Amino acid sequence: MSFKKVLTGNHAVSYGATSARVQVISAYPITPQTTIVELLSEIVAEGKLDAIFVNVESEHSAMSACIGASAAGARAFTATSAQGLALMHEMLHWAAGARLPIVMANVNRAMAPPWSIWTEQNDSLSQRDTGWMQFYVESNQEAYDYVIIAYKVAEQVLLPAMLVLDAFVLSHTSEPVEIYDQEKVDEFLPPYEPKFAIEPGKPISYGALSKPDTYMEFRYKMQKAMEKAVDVMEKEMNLFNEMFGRNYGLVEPYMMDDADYVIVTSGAMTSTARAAVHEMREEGKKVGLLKMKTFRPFPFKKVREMLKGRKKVAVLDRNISFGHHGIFYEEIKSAMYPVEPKVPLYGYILGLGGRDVTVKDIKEIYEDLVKREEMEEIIWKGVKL
Amino acid sequence: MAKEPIEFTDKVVKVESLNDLPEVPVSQRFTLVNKTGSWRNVRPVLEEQNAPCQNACPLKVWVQSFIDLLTRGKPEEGAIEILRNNPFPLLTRKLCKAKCEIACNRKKYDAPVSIRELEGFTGNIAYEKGLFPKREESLGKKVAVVGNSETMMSAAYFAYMYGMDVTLYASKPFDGLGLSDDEVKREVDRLKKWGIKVIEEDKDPDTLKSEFDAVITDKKDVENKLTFQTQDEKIFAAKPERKDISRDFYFGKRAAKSVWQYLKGEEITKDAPPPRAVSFNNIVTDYFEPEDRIDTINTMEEAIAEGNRCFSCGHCNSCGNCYVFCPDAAISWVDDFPVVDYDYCKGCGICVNECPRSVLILVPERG
Amino acid sequence: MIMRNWQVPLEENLLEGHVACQGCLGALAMRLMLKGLGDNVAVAIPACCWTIISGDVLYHALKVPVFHTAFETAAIAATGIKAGLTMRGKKDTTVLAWAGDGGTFDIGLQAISGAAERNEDIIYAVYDNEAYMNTGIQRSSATPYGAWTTTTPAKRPEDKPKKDIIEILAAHRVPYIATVTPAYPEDFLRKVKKAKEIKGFRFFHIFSPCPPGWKMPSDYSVQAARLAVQTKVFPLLEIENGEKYTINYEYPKEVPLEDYLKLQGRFKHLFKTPEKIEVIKEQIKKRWEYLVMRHKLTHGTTDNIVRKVFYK
Repeated sequence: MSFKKVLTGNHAVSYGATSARVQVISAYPITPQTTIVELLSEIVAEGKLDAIFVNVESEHSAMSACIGASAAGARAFTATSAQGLALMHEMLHWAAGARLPIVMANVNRAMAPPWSIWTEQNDSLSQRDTGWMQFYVESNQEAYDYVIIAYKVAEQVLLPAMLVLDAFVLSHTSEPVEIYDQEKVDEFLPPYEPKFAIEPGKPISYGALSKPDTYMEFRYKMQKAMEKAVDVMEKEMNLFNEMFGRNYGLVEPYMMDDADYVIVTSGAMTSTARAAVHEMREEGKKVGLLKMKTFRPFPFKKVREMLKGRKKVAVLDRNISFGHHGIFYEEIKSAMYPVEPKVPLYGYILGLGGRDVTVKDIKEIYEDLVKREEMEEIIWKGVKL
Repeated sequence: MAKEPIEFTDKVVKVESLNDLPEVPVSQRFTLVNKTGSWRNVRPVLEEQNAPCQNACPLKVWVQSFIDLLTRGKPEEGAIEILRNNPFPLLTRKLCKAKCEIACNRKKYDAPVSIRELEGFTGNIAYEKGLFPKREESLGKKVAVVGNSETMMSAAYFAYMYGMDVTLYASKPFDGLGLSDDEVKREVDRLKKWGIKVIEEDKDPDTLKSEFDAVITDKKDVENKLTFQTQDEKIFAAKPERKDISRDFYFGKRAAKSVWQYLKGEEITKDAPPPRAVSFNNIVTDYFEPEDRIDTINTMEEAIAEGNRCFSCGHCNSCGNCYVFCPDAAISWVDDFPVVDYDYCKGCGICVNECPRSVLILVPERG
Repeated sequence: MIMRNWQVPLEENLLEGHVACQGCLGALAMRLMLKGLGDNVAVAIPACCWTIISGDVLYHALKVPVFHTAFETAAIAATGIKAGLTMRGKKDTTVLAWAGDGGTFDIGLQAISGAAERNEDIIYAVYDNEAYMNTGIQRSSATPYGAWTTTTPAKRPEDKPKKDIIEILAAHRVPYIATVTPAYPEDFLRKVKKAKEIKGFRFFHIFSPCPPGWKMPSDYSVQAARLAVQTKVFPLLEIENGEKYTINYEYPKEVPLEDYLKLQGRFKHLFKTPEKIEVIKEQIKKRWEYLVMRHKLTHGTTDNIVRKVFYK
């Protein structure tokens, strides 16, 4: 039987990995991720999860151990944050290039220096081009669910997946989370059947030198797998909805039906934006909210569908690509390029390094959006100028 | 889990479209597709070389080979190998000057191998078991050998080995060597047992010319000291020098060989000098342990221990170095010997450098 | 079967057609390692010559599976593979990390230290050719004093002694450390078979002469390895649990270091500065005295060190 438990976002992830019956966990401590693997190590020690837990000496090794385990055909899991994710960078490419369905939780944390342990998306978005799927979750329930969904998708398209949750706002904040009946999870996510595992009796080399006559084709196949992942995601989320009663999509619209103005968010900030939009709707403002959940593969079709014909769109970024824009803004703008008539898009940078984003902030952004006539490359919200 | 049989072939993966490539960057076939033999500009070749002992021996006994056979567990084959060149190994054991041991490369390492003893011990197996070397195809020719000397005993032996019907006329075989009656009887009985007719009387060689196709004798003077021909083309003559019994046996062997050439209608040629022998500098001594020489050999254990001291210069005795040290797995071990796979051998030369006895040599590739 | 000098299995798990340079002892080392381990093996190979040797992505040179991994990750990728196979019920598979000296002495040391300290159940083997050969002979911390490389030119050759990797591993108290070289194949195989039966982190330091990198004709590589042992440049030894030291072999005669150096072009310039050769001799002497001391501490005697000309 499923049951509800009050869990922090991090512990929801630990439960997600447990429900997904991960077989090898390898991790290195970093705030604010650490409690994910602490709980997992306990669960493994208590024999509630049949897995090997490897306490490695760096995040680079944590990912490398997952890569080895996944190459050997096991379901592998790790979690990290910020500097740890950055240290893993090389191996993120490796996991994706080797087409290994590893799932990782990244707790969004600002990059140093100066040191910061609070939420910001630059760590995960810096890994945009590694070939990992990226899912930004908003709640602890989503954190739990997305571990399971991520494996289901990853193992079909043979690409690794990262679920991303905000430091402290989710990672250390408790909410009730429904933990599903294990048999049902097993039915949704059967044991991983690797097609290309490193195992005795199968003399293959895995990832050897590819000359210019083959390398491009392997990359083409990766892109095709990403494209396929969009359909697989939709199919699996429908099934997930049927089985567990939670309806997720690649993006999540809120009060969008007749909205002239749309605010686009990702991660935990969405909850604040949702409250603000709700209040503004009550005030009679035709504003809607679009939550970006799947960042890679990028849901072009859904984004275009949702934003087409709107008067104005504000994209909120808790991240910045220095010398350019907020990253979600930049991506959405490029997705909207072929859409006629042009939808005016504005990018707002806010909440960096864990600075609070309030309902008031969102409302102010709406007001700003409505009045704005001129195109502006980058709009800062809340910076002490 | 049942293992699927894997075909290790040199098949190429043809990549014409995306579908020919796996989803994941994993190998489909094997490097056997790379014929790395094309990298080679020198090729290792297994080529028997002469050993100094062999070259020093008047009879050119293939010492390395018989010691190899003996120590490989084939003593009878070793005995027969001796008998191909040495008719009376028990007599050489007793009387030979053993120039082989003077020339032995092992002398420069610790002490020469007891070749004379080993040859006698191994040869004795042939005596005990009544073994003889393989005879050449019969020419249907009759040869008389006339004389008592050890040279004539040897001539009779080799003439018979070269496929002739031999009648030996000797009233006192091995006369003048100081052998006991038993020793003489032992050797004469061997000749008889093999099939040589022995008539214990003296004859004038000239009287036998009509009855026989050729005559070998020690009673006449020789014309050509290299081929032992006389002025009479049917008569060949050789006498012992009594300096070294092996040399005296050699004279008989060489006279028999001339007769053989004569009866086949071939040109009678002198023996060419032997090819250069492997020198001590060619021996990789790191593969040999200093061991005390066993001077007299009475048991098989002693024989094998002493035989194992032999460097086996220029003769492959299946040490396995070439096989073990090949970085390219291009040498396989087939029926106890190395076989080089020239499709893949890159010609690095390790096998040649590590061959302790210079049997493997590098030869340039053409082109 | 008769093979007078060696008792080695004829089973080959290295295929022909691999693309190692002529005379590569790194290739021979793999051949011997897999003769010893058999085919119930999975291998992790980081960036090193073997990345190339094993062939193009679509082809494979071994009869056992290989996972190619990043430069610094051999030890941890092997750890992961071992964990993965264990979870899939393949507990008896030997997992081998197979790396060069750069991937071991330098960039991979952290992951090795981690895996060694956790006593991961893998065999880590470094085939040490004493420089970054695959990238074109650059100096590594395994490059010996006095050697030329493309980053330590003859005018200013390597001025630090080789990093003592064995002592680093010994300090981790791993169950088994062995030094081997393909020039002594039976010693090599005996240690591999011994290691195979031990559980935990096992480390092989394989001395692997590289003809192009050492500026040496390709047929000299086994000879160079043998001379390295005879001159005590590379002593053959075993260390158990970081404490029990065993010197396996001492060549019974004194062999001048120069015999080893003069085979190799990378030491050619040293003959103009004989004082530097004396520095190397002093390093060798001190290291040997230390090892003898440890051997004595373990065994109470040095009489059990094999002192034969032909050591297998």
